[in-house]
Amino acid sequence: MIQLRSVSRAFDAQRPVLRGLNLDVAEGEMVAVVGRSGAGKTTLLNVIGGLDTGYQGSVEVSGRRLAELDDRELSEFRNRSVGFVFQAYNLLDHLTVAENVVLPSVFARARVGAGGRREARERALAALAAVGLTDRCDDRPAVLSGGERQRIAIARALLQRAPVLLCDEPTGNLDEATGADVAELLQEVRRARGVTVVVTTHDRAIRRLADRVLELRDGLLLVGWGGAGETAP
Amino acid sequence: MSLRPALRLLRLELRRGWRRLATAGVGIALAVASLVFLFALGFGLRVTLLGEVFPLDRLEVAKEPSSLDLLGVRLPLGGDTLDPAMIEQLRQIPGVRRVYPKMKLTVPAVASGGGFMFGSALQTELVVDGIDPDLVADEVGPAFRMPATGRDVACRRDRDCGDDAYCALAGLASLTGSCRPYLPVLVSHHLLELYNGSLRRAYHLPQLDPERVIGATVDLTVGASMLRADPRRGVARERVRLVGFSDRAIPFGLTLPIDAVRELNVRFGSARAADAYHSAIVELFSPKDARQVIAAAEGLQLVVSDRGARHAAGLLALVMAIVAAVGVAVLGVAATSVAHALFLSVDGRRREIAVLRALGATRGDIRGMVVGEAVAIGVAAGAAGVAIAAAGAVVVDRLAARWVSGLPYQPDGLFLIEPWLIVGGLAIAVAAAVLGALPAVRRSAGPDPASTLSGS
Repeated sequence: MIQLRSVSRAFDAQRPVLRGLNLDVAEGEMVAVVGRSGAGKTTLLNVIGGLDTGYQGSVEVSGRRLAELDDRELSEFRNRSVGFVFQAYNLLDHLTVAENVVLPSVFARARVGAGGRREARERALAALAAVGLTDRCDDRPAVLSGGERQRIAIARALLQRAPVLLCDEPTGNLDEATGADVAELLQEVRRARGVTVVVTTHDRAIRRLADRVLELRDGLLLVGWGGAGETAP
Repeated sequence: MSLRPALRLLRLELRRGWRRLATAGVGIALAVASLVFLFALGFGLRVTLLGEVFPLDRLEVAKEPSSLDLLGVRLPLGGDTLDPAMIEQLRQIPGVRRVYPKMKLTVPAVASGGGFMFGSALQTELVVDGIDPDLVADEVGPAFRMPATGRDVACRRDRDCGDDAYCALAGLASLTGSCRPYLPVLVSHHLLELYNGSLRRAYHLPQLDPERVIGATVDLTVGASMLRADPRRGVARERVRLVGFSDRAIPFGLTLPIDAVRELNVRFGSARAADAYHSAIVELFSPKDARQVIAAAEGLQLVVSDRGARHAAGLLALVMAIVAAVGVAVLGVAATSVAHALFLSVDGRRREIAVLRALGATRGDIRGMVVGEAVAIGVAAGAAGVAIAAAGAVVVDRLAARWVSGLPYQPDGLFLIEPWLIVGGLAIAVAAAVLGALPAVRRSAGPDPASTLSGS
């Protein structure tokens, strides 16, 4: 599903963030990426998600080689093939919950998934039902708790039925209990929809749910410890 | 850029920021209001000046008179009339639709009567012109045609002759006579305006209602004069009846059908007077043809006697060009306010735009969203500007009607707001807003979404 070969990314020539990185993630797999702040975890997700195109090497997602896509194709890729969940939620405060969730469909080029406003709202409600927040669809994000906002962000990421979910510290702004709920939600989504999940995290709860845990250190990915069999220290 | 995402983003953005966008458009609205107001005034004055005061689609040409200056006295050498051959040459000039010859009455005339109009009978020396009835057919219809002479009917009083004739007594002491048709006569609007505006005040006469004086009659004594007359020639008495007002009538005097004037000129002059025209009205296919027609007429040794039209048109064109230049400058300033507002708006939404990019928006979608905001500003500002201008025009028209009534040449309205002026106002408002938005459009698609989102 995801294949990275010799991927390097440097914002400063003296200190590359990613150095000849190789990675394979199978369909339906959940991979947790850990590492110190500034290690390049977010950069790795941005590269996989087609947000960052300034890398060297080869990135292939769902059979599409990202370096070969132009801006329009990359936008369509982000719209259809990957869903982003950010640590800071990145919801638009002037829109309602349902409008936030439905936002990716605004940019859907193909008729599949584009639909009319009524269909988009139905799909938004279905996505909100999947995260247990149907009753908040007409609220503004500002009145919701952090956990609720992150659930909405996950619902937004699920709307276009993307096969890949890229989560950047999804529980980083949440307390432990809420973080555990969000981690459980990600696991449910993965099981129910068979999506491939790459998640950067410091959260032990998420690490425990992952099939693999990889550590990003000095721009290289090290085979990690823990994963599904990790025991709490 | 895809239209659908841009429109849906615009709809969402308008819901949030319509006040901000409206504020950004205030400058453009005022600039458009000023432009539309001034242009409407310019076009209104143009219609009045060139349509009524100095009609540009009709030129009056005459032969340049030959004269001899002798010890400070200019002696006419004659030859200042147009013959039928010259009239035909004028008809052959490209751009000329029709030529209407005009003929002046070459003997003095005195009008008397009008007691029912003025309160007492008046007597005045008059200038009389003859024009082709076809020239005014669209204004007064067949009423200005020469009446049929008919058979000679004896009478003692006017009522014996019906509505279209009067009883012309055989002599001053005679009690009987024969019925003669009234000669139709036209008066210019200018003369009526001048009478109602100035003359009536000076002579303490009543104001005339143009609708009510139609049909009024006065006696015309041709060959008589209050200044100097030739008693050997005798006089001819006619009774004329006002059949209408026309801007094509002689500005100060009476205008008769050309056949009537021709007949009088021949009677008091010679047979050659029948083909001696003093000028001709040249009707053009388009005012644009005026330049070439004037040049051709001048090539025939003719002079265009109403250059006021060209001067007025040139002056108006200059004034409107200045208005346009000032308007463009004001619009430019207004566009900078849009540029500033949208630039700040886009800068403040960098993170939001990065999120939209992450969710699948192309650079074109983002640019389209900002252009859409600019178009919305432009349309709203343009509509407001046109509305302000139209309201201003109504107010000024009403004030003008109230405070400056009674002036000569006063038109019905000072402004002319044509549909294309409204469309033009909207278009330039949109154009100014979109031009002002260009820096913001560039800015909106510029930032790398990855770096913006990673900066959290």
